[in-house]
Amino acid sequence: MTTNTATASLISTRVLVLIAAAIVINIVGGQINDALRLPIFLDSIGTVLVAVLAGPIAGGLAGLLTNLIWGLLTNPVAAAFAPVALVIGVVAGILARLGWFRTLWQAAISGVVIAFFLTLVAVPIQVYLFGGVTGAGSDFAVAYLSQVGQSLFGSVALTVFGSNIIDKVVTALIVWLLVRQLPQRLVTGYDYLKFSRA
Amino acid sequence: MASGVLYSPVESWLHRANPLTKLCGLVWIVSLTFVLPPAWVWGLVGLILLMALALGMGRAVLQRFAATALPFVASISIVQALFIVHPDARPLIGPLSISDIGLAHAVSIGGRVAAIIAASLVLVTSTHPSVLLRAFDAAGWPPALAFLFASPLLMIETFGNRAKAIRDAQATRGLRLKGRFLSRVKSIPALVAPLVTTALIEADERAHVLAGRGFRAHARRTTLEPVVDAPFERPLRIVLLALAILQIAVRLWL
Repeated sequence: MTTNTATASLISTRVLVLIAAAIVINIVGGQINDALRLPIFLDSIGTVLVAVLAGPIAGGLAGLLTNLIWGLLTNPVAAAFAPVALVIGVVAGILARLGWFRTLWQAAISGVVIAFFLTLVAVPIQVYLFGGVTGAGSDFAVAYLSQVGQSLFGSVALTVFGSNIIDKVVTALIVWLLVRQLPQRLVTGYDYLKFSRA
Repeated sequence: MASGVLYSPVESWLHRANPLTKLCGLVWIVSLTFVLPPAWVWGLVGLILLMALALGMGRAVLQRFAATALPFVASISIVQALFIVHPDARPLIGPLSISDIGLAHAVSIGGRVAAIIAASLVLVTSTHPSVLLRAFDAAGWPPALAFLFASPLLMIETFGNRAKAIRDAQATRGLRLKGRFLSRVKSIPALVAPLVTTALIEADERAHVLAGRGFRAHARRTTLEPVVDAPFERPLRIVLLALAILQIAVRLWL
């Protein structure tokens, strides 16, 4: 009973259900992106939304589990990047707590900060576990930057940051927009929201 | 169940094995790829794929392996052997050079990743997510954690269909899904907002239902259909994990 009580006090049942829905929104976000044929990922809208509504622990959990479930369902490589998704949720939650999702510009800057921190975690995984590539189109950028004299570490860092910055800024702006538009009835009880609503 | 699940429903000893034993086996194989020489690791990849074929799930595993591992191996070979400038690089064509060190690096990392992908695919192809979750329940995982794994798997198909319905409805209203980059970016909220709003409404309802059922009243959940756990599997799991730890220690020591 002790463990359960501890978990219950950390994350309420309502937030637990929100995290489950956010994981699915992350996965379905990829399908929406495919439909729009955008050169971004849109796979962390749910994670950032949970982080803004319920804080960094819930956000980190949503990100971590998204990649683990993705790995279980379709792509085992995604599971290796689960720590990156965790960092996205944690950093977004901390930024939300600091009030950096209140205005459009703050949300855009938050997207850049999230991209920076995810790069710090993604680069060592990509370099040491995968030799700098992932089998995606961005590998051409790694190859090009290596050819023009960048180290492998530098090439991967520039590529990861470059390919994520637009995605995370767009994600942060969408979440900012959603949070402003959601009816009060739906978001009552999410304690972290007061830090993000102007 | 969720669409896109890789599970292949055939009868085999691997399908009948406890998912926790298979997870321990995966951990052991991952650690093994860090201590075996590259040629042996590629042999291991061949063995895993042959096993998948022999157990009747070759098509599912090979298709996914080709889609996931082959682009990776091609990428790492090109980047490491041709683009990264190693000390032994020899001019090839134009600005490109070729390096034996780079090739060796590509064979080593490519083999390791291919082995991990092949072993992971055999695990997910032989294990239905619901059976994995029952195994977690039987192992005493907290209900909240088991819920977080189970619930998304059960919702993916519904949400996928809902996203498609929203897309069709918005397209009927005149939303442009093609065109310039900025206009496509501007379309995202129209597709995402209804999905999120519905998800929040459902989250409220589900939370009430779960609370009403006393979902987190007990630390452990019982399962009506326990996952088979043969007498030898528990000691096998311990051996596999011990071997994995030993292999990681050897790797760190050398």
